[in-house]
Amino acid sequence: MRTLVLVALTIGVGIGLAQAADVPAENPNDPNALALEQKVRQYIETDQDYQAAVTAYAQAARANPTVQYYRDQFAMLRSVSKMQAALPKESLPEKWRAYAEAVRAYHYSKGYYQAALKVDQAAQVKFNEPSFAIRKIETLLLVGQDAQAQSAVQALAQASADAVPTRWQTLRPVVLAHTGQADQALAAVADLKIDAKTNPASLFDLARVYKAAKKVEEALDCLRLFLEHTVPTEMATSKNMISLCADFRDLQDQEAFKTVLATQSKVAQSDCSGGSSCSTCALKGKCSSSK
Amino acid sequence: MANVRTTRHILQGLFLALILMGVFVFKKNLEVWCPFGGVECLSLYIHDGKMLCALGASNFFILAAILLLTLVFKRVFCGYICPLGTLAEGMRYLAKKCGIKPVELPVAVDRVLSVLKYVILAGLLWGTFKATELIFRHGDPCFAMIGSGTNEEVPWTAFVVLGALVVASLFVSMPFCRWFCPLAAVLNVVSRAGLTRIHRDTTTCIDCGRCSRACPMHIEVAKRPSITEARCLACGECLLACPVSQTLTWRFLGRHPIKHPARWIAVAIVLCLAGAVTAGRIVPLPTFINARDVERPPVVAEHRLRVEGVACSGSARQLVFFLDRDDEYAVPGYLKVLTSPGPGYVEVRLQYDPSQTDPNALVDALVEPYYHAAESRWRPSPFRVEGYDPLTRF
Repeated sequence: MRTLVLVALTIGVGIGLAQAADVPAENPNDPNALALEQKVRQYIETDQDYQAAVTAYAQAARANPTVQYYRDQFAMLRSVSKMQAALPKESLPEKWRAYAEAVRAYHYSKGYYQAALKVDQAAQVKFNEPSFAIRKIETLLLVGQDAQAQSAVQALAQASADAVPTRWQTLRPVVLAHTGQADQALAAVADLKIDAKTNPASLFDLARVYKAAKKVEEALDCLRLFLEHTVPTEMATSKNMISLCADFRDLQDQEAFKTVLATQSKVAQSDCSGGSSCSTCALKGKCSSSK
Repeated sequence: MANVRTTRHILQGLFLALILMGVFVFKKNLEVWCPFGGVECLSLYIHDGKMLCALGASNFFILAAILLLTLVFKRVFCGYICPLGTLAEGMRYLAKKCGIKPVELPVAVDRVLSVLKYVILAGLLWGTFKATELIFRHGDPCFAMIGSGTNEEVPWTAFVVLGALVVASLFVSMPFCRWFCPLAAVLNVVSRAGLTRIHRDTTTCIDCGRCSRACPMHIEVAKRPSITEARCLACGECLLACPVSQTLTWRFLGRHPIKHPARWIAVAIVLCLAGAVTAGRIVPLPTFINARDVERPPVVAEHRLRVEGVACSGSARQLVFFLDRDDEYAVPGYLKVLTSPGPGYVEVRLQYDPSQTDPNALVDALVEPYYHAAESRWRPSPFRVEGYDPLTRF
């Protein structure tokens, strides 16, 4: 009978190992996934038809009930579209800011920069603050509207130095580089000291300046540092941004560029659960972001 | 009498297979069925009205069932149900087959080591109450076995203890059960008053000592007229080893011989565990309560849901965060949350002001994704509500 126990143990462990190997897919693996993403992009970026985009994800989720990715995308986009629709009617400034930030974060995570630009423009019109101007410049540069970015930079230059976020120091050279002033852009970043920990996005700007000045090696170094200092949860957004950025389009096939895109984050992810209060949170000992 | 061993091994194999299937195939959190979880949380539940991470009211019901079994059949849980006992016995059986002789410790050393489990129990009870977390997980070999079914990371130290237990069991009979198991310390208190015991007829006993040698818990059966030792597993090995018929007998209250002990034990185990499982399902006790600091309206409604994704008090607090959200799915009228974890699900009772909100809004608040501003990213809700599919309402 002891043999029976051992047999049970063996069978149990065997089944367990077999089940452990059968991990459900995190991402869609059906051949239509890419086509769906392109369709959704068109609905949002070109047609501005959020309802159609949500419906597309809903249909994919129904057709692939075991793929959690589609359900998550459906739920997220539905929330985003509700917020997007609520923005024009929202009267509370704080709530408006929170919604705008959430919608913009979604668009950036998916690389919908045209849609993000609309949010940035509306935010700047509503608040006229340097922080929103910086966001708009960042997005203008990503969608290739360099002239508008230059105007925005010049307008921002009128603001007092204290009010301008540090990101301006690296975005302005990108605008210079994009408007045919690569040497001036290089000179502008020559003595810059960038704190990669607090402002990793500045390294992305720096990479674009170097690329415009044909300093590819330095540009790739900056991109690698940028990714190394990006928190794991934002890694996909950052890599998406690099891949979609027109400045690096001619590097897409180079091995060195692919290697950079494979860079892993060296920043520890916060354990913040997103709860309402740190004082009662069981994870407070591990968490770096206190609210 | 041979069917005592057969029954025992069938039950051991059955429970071990159930546990392994539950953890590895069905990916269930079996920690909610650990009787020691009930011991660890009892003082905290009485004090604060809350359970610790991953545990539920089912831990209390299973503990009560095991204590009842122990009161009648001594430490039958250790000998028939506990996976660690089965593992230890299995390892010793393998070692025996490989020709490894058991290490016999002097009685005095065995006695000193036996005290260790009481020290461990006292330390764990005090430490758990003070730390309000399951500190035993760091050294619990059972958590190393079943922990992958929970959402928690199994500490490496638990695997070390499990490994040490496996190795030690090759050389010593049931070392963890005899010396270190804190649950055994609890059961011993009740087991001492065990209503059924093995009796030795001193007039027919030939003093061969086979019964003592057969006992996996090293009880000196041959020197006792009646086995009052709390550590008796009711395994019946002494009865099987006795060469003289009717010299060792199983008796109820010291007088009435039990004719078919295996049958009684099996029935008692099935009835007690089934009772505990049923009670755990139909009598949910709230293990997390959170009331909003607002004036209660004259009319309060309650909505009951079964929610997946609430594993512990931390995730219950996250559930409150979802109800407190201030985006498009905000629910201004909710008043109180009570969560009652059961095996595989958590029953959530939401009390709300029906003039301000409705059950659909409460469900939406729980399952819709939210924007985590501190991390500048969207997070899908970790909660799933039974019977609710957001796609059907789209």
